[in-house]
Amino acid sequence: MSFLEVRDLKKHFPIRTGILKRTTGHVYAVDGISFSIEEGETLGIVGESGCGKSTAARVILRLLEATAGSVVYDGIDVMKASRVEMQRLRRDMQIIFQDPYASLNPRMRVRNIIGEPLRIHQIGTPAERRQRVIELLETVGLNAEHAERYPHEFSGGQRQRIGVARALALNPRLIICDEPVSALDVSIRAQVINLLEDLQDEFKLTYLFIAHDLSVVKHTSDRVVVMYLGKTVEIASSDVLYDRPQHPYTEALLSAVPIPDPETERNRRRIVLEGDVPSPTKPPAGCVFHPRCQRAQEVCETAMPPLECTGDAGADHMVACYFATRYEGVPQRDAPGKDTGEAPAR
Amino acid sequence: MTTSSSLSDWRVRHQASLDEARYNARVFFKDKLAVVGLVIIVVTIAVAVLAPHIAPYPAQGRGDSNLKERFQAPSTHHLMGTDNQGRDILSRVIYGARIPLIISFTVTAVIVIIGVPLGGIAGYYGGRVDEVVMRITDVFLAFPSLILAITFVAFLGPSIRNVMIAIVVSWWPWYTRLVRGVAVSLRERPYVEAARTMGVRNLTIIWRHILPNAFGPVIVQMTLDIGTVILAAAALSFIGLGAQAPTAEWGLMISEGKDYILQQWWIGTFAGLAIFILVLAFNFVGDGLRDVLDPRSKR
Repeated sequence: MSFLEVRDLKKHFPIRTGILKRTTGHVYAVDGISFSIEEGETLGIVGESGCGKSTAARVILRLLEATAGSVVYDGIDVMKASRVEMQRLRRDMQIIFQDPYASLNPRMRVRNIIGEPLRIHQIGTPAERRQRVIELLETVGLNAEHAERYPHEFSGGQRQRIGVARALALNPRLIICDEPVSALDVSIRAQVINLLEDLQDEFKLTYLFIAHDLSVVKHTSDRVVVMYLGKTVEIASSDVLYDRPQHPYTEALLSAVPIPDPETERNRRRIVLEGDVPSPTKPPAGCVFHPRCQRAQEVCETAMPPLECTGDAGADHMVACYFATRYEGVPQRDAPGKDTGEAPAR
Repeated sequence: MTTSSSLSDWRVRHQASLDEARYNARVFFKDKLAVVGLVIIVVTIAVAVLAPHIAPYPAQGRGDSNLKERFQAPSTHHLMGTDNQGRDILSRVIYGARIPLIISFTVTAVIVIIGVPLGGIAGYYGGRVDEVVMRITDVFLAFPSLILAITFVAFLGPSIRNVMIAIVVSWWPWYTRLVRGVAVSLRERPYVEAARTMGVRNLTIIWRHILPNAFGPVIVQMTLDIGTVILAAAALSFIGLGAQAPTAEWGLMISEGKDYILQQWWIGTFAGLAIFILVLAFNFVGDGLRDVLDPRSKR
């Protein structure tokens, strides 16, 4: 059993219209994702905005109730946990947000922001809590003086550190990082990422690291989940994913990552996706990616391909595509229905 | 020695709050009308508190009649003249400042205490709770507020206390609506989600994270409403449902003066002017505060 096991998780938001509030449709924000995380590991989730990454994070933390599926944390089913069990789980699972400006209550002093989780869980005496807040500030590279200030007195990077200190207050084991550096200046990103990595080593943290930027995920994650329109399209260890992506969507994402070498940058082939991400209220029939996919064939319109290991790009490499890129001349898996037999050239 | 160091320490620790307050004060005091309004309100409060010492004829201010000097036009003896019972109008205008101030401050305070938490609860919980609370406010708002207040006073009997109850009953839903709107937008803020992730209880989240951040618009609405409450209270007294003779109350004084308005204009006019000026002053201050507290007009 893994540390965190997510099974076929779904979150559909009903769309209600009219006076009677009848449900006329659903937003399929998260539509059946599965993955597991081992203790101490960092699992990255990437995908365009609106693909359901953040919703998935909120469902795992049970800030939103799941429509279906299960989340098992250390043997406990989070979705079915009682109020008391949940309160204990909350000490173990924390979140760091994308927007450091909106994630701190502007009316509270830093001392109270970081101290709030301690107070809620009645940890220590007020004096001990005050001491702990200062320790936490120092852990994230701030100091005791900062405790009396308000969030608006800090820069974006400093605020993100305060958010990290708050997340650490209860000694959690799992931290969900919801695009923790996307809103920061490029120059600050490395600092915050290094801080997160140092903390992981020091406190043996497990991270679920959400991002839309593949270069950040590559740097931080052991394994990566690629999401598209509420579904998982590819899972692989991060080195393998970058060297041998199998899903056409992953390849397109990778080709959009700038390479810091003008020569290579100029000569490489860019895959430019056409059209927009379809609305999650009406996901395309069949493979969710087929309307934008260059490899799409008839079969792609009939059913979503299962997430499977093709065996030629590593044992833990799973991909959901009928025409996944093959490596080292391993024979093409038969596509169901009409078979073209021809693997698209890469 | 120690006091000075602890004072400077206090200054250092509250540097941000002090800067913020100083900045807000500067914005507020740049608005000349708001300053005029503030001065008028402060003077009115001072006059109301010190009425027994300022009023030239305190006993008449409290209601004693003086039938020898009825209907005297304004003069050096009676700066605003006397009424049909020979009472000095100036003294009565001075004493009359007490009731509207007490009514308006008490009523707005009670309205906020009732309306704001309900709005926070409705907006934060959403769903069925929201539905129930908002439909109740809709029922109250469907009545014209003054008519509802009149019905209420007619039911409870005329008195200042009942006027206050009536205004509270017809007014609180506005605050519930106002705060609900803000709470709905604050509910999705990451800091609220962070609090939920920590396991903070819902009512605590409303109290610590939602309501403090909804307070700007509430304060502005309060100052703008105080004027309207004064008007409503005076109107109820005017039609005989509020303060009763011989109490000095501006609405009642206008009512007493209405029979003589052509011959002895001063009996009702000065009370009317007093209402006019005080309400205007509260509105000026409200506008000034809005400029300070409304983030859209800020910086």
